[in-house]
Amino acid sequence: MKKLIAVAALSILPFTNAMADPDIGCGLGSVLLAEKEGQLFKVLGATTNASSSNQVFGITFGTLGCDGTGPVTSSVKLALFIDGNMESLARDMSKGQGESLSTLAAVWGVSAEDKALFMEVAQANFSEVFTSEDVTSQVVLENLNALVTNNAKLAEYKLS
Amino acid sequence: MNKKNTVISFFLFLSFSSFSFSSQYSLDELAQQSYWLKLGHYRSAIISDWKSEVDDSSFFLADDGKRDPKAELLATINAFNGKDLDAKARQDVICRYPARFQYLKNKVDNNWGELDCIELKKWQLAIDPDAITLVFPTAFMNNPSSMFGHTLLRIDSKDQTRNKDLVAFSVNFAAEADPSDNPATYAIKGLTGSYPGRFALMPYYKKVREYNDLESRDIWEYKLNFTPKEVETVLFHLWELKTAYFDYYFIDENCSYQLLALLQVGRENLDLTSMFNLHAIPSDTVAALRDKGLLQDPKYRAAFGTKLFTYSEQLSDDDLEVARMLTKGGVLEQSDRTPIENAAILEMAYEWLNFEYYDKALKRDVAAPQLTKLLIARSKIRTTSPFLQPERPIASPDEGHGSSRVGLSVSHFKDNQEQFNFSYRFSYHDLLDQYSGFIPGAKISFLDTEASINETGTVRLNRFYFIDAMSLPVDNRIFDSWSWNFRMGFDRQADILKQSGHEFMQTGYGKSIGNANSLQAYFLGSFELNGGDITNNHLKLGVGSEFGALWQISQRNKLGLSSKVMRLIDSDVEYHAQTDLDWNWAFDQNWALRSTLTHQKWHKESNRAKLTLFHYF
Repeated sequence: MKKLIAVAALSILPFTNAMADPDIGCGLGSVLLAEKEGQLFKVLGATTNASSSNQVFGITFGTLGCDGTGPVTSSVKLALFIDGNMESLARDMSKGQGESLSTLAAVWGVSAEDKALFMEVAQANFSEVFTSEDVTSQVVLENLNALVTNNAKLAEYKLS
Repeated sequence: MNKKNTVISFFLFLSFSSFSFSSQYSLDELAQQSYWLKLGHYRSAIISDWKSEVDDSSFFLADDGKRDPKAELLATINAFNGKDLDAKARQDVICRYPARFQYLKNKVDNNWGELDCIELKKWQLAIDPDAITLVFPTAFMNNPSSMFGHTLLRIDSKDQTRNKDLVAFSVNFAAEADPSDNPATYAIKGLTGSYPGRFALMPYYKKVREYNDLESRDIWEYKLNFTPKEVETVLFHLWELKTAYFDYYFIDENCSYQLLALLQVGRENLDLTSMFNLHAIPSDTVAALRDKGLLQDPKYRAAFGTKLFTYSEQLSDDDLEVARMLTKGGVLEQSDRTPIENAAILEMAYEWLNFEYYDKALKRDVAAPQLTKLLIARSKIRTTSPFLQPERPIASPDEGHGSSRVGLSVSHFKDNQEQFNFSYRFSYHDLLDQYSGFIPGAKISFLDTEASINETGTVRLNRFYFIDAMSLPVDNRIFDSWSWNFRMGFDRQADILKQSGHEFMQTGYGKSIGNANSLQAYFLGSFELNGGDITNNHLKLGVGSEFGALWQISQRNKLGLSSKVMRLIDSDVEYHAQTDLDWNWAFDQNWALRSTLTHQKWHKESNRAKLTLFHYF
């Protein structure tokens, strides 16, 4: 919870993309290659299974809203998923396939018939989703939503 | 009518305001029921009869709840009956202990009604539990510190397909280390129970990222044979442990042990922890679940490093070289390569740079732009990945040998002496033990002990290796790995009239080539400190080398040749050496026959042939 709030506080809500919709998601700010785990933490892991990423998530993390209260809406689940999977999503999207991308489609609510199209569209417009190495997960969510909205067949999945 | 109502009210009042206990069990019997003891994490103790492993006093309702299961039972029943509590306070207690409530409701006469807890319900709805999966991240060859593995759980929901495994919730038990402690302090505190350990819930993808990607461990996922009701009970108990902490002991009360303590609450007569008294190694806890018939066939997730190596094997030297250059910068030039070849090179370059970013701690402002460029270039090639994924290993961790080993041997010396030997190794695995479920080319051994008895009935300690570890990752086109070993303890070396005691500490560093799954060779430069009878109790330095070869002839047979030659500094003996030729036949999962020929030289030469029967448990 502390981490979520801290990250949210650090993130910069962008207004550069006119199609962006900051009302969806949690305003989370993870970027590609954000955490530097490095060698030290391999040693830590050996005796305590502790890791540098915040272990203190408590029993209710992720089951209650962006700030730890309230219901988990689909856009919140998406926001959390994208925020925790930036690299694997980028990697999968560049290939148009992969478990993270498939999971994203499933969490988004895309039906089995439309999934292939969703993943294809994502790959074809990769550089409009991952605009740079510093793009935040909130912006990735918004960019994906814009893609979905502007595609005739996928528009029904637009988040609101 | 009024009188009857008054009488009824009077008795109702009595039953709510005083302790009324009515059950098929006496209070003493119920307090000693194994399920009640499991719920309180009680184990036999020395000072009191019982002691709970929960170290957080707020977990207990009774003042002496930690040491007295009966007092805790009494306090719990009282609270559920509402003694000295108003309706809301009573409801709060019930909702804090849903597993206790569910259990006692069937054992004690009551009129408590059903569980009706809003927060608990919200939590359950979000998790939507249907099954539990045991997750076992093992080790990647180049990372021996992770050798013992780890275990965690994943709660699978009702509508979960393979596509939603990542967003299921994982349950993890770990120590909460102080971020300002240094690695040595971490190790000591982890061993001595100085950190609190807690359960935490988080999306499974966080753990996949941590273990699969960042620490490059293969992950095995075993679905457990629990019914949805049993799964719900486990989660009720997890809810009870929400804030509870346990002193974290790396050796025995660790992640694996606590997960078993949690799981055994799922079923009334399930005992998963009583066999773990002194130590709990993750692979042993996997075996405990297997032996109770709780494990289904596992799924496999290859580690990042495993994938990287597998992809590299699918590229020619030229293409691999182009990928190598791309990790340093630049773009993929036009050429007569097919789009599929280009896709492969770009994917390889990305994976390689990504791996090195974490493994070698590269700078983000150098690596991140190039990684993004590689991804963009790849996304323009509209084809799926040309790479084959790593194959699932034939043997899974639950098929490996037990972590401790005993051996019975017969030894014959060239001078016609005979010996019987008895050996015991506390843990874990050597280079000749059957490889199934262990990472190849790595040995780690603690407390490897051997005693001998000769023809005249003399019993002596032959060997006591406190630690004997060796890591031999082979060099290949993408991993430039160093092999090392460290050994410390006591053994016997050839002296003029007998085998004399030798105390030592030795370490080596070098290289390994070949393939750990078939034929591999290694060479280490070595340094050692020697003492004991063999050096007349003087400290003697040794410098030299240790080298050898290992050949996995077939699935169950392995040959090993190992040699060390050490030059002794400032000693009346110029050098000492030992060569072993071993053949290990693992005829069963937990049994092996090993023949060994040994040649030793120190003050004198000695030759020995030995046949050992090993049993793992």
